[in-house]
Amino acid sequence: MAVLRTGLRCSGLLLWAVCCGVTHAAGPYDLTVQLDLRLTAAQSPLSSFSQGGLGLLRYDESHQGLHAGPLMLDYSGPVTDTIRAAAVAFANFDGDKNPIDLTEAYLEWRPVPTSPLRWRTQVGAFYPPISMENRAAGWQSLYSISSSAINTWIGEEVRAVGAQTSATLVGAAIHRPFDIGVVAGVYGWNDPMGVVIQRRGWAIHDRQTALWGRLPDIKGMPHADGSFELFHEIDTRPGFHAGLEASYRNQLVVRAMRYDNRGDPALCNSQECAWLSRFNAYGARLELPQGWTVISQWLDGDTSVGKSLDGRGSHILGYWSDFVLVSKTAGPHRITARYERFHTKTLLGANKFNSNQDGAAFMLSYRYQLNDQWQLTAEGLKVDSSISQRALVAAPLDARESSLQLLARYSFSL
Amino acid sequence: MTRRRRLIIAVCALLLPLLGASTGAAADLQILTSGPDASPLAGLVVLLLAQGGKAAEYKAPASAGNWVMDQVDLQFEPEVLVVPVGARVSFPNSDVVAHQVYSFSPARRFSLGLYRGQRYPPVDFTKPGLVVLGCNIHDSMVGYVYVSESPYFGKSDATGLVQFSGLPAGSYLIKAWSPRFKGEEPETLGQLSLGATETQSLSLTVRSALRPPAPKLVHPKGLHY
Ligand SMILES: [Cu+2]
Repeated sequence: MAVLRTGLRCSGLLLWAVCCGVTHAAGPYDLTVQLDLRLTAAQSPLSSFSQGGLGLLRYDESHQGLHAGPLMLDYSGPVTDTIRAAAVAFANFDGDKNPIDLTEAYLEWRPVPTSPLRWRTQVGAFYPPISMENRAAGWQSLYSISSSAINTWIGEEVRAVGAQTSATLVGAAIHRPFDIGVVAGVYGWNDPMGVVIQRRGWAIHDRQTALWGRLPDIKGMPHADGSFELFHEIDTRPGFHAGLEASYRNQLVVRAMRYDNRGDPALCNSQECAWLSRFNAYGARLELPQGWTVISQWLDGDTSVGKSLDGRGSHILGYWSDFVLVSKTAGPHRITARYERFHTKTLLGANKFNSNQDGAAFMLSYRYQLNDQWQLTAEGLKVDSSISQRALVAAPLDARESSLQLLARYSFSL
Repeated sequence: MTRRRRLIIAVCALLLPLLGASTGAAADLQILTSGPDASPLAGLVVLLLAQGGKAAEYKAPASAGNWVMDQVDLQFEPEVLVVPVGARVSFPNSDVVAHQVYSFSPARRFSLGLYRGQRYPPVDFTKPGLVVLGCNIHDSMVGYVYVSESPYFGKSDATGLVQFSGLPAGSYLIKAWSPRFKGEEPETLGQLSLGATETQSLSLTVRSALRPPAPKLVHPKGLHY
């Protein structure tokens, strides 16, 4: 495993070298450097998951006030006329294993279309196309500071390290008002995916787990592990995802995807176990005149771990979440509201570890684009949740958490 | 910069019809276009194909000037550019992000690898017909270069009006095309005879089924994915 991980790390460094060396000669590149300054006020009886607690917000009452970070670098540039290298790195300043680490790094080949069918192939580490809101540089939400529970979880536990191809019938080329596409990928290194949603449940924030980064386990819980690393290959069995996307006049985009990491729940390495995690994800985004956007997503799946006769795992957890987001932009202003529900339930093995979560959250944000460099955001977030495993760490089962964040984001492009 | 490009386009548009009219008196023509629902039709490409008289003697020059198809806010600007056969069109990118402009239309296949600013020399359009433009990075970017075999062409303004001046006397076939048509074939709107110095005004109605106009959507700043 160490060899694999070193190999992966080297390929990441190699990618950086490719990005920063070759492309200067080949043509234009985009490098965005972004630094956040945040003022945070939180109200919660729990400590944050980021501190090993069972609170669902990024900052708890002990981490209030002014702080800097994260720092983000988003690079994209041509290697040839049709191949582009892209990489995103975050420095979270929160004691992660590496002070700065990659969240995505891949090569993308877009051959020049010679027919209405347009092909795209990605190789490397990247997000599968699930989120409808994480559309800004560095896979950040375009609309607010936090992402919905669904996309927070994608950012925490899901990354395809492998290859993905999509074929899209571009309607404009044949005088039709719609595009239809299929996407499919094979990947490894996503075997531990599932452990966080089982031990903690859904959360709502904007911290993405880096490729060699960690998320803390719950302090004081049985079998607490210190921390999780999500991107290990344990069972040498590749996972896959396959999806459909259709859009109508660039106004309505709908997606459906099946994700299955095909983990072997009977296997563990020295650090992590493989989880068999599968879900269906659906999403729709409607763009209306006068700057209105409506987004909705729904994700429904299960994850399992442990040896069992049928290979299905001795512990199975089901989970689902959905949200609706409404956003309105006018000039430099943007106002966004989001409501969501989230839920986990232990389906098998509750006698050994029973984790169940029920919750709902409401988010309201205002974003102001001062100029090309400065963006200001105020976000209020209220999360009501009930988590059964809070009893294991002597925390209240039901909790109302709320936070107010003021964010000054400075970014410049090279 | 944009103003200068516009000026070049305007000058070209004014001069071209004059080439054919250099031998004598010329006519002016105003066409008010409307859709099947009788509302004014904006952005309609109108072509006058000479059928006889002085107009038919016109021969297209080998080179037909320089034209500009800009890219602004992840959109082609203008959406439809009408040019004569032989036009050289440059595709500057006025956005901060890079574009990769291409077309696989039979009338002109080309591709401009990822670029910003004015990286490539103009593209020449030597065959008449519709050239559909796309961007290999941004699927929602769609534009059209309509290469007109006739030197007499125009595009309707927001009120549906197309104006021609300095037309040579003769008879013309009037054809029209809009990106709101469901195909590439232009519709024949009618025929016209022009005397040497007359000024004519016409009202013409498009009968082809039209798609609803694309609503003006706000392209969010900072959009990456
Ligand atoms: Cu583009």
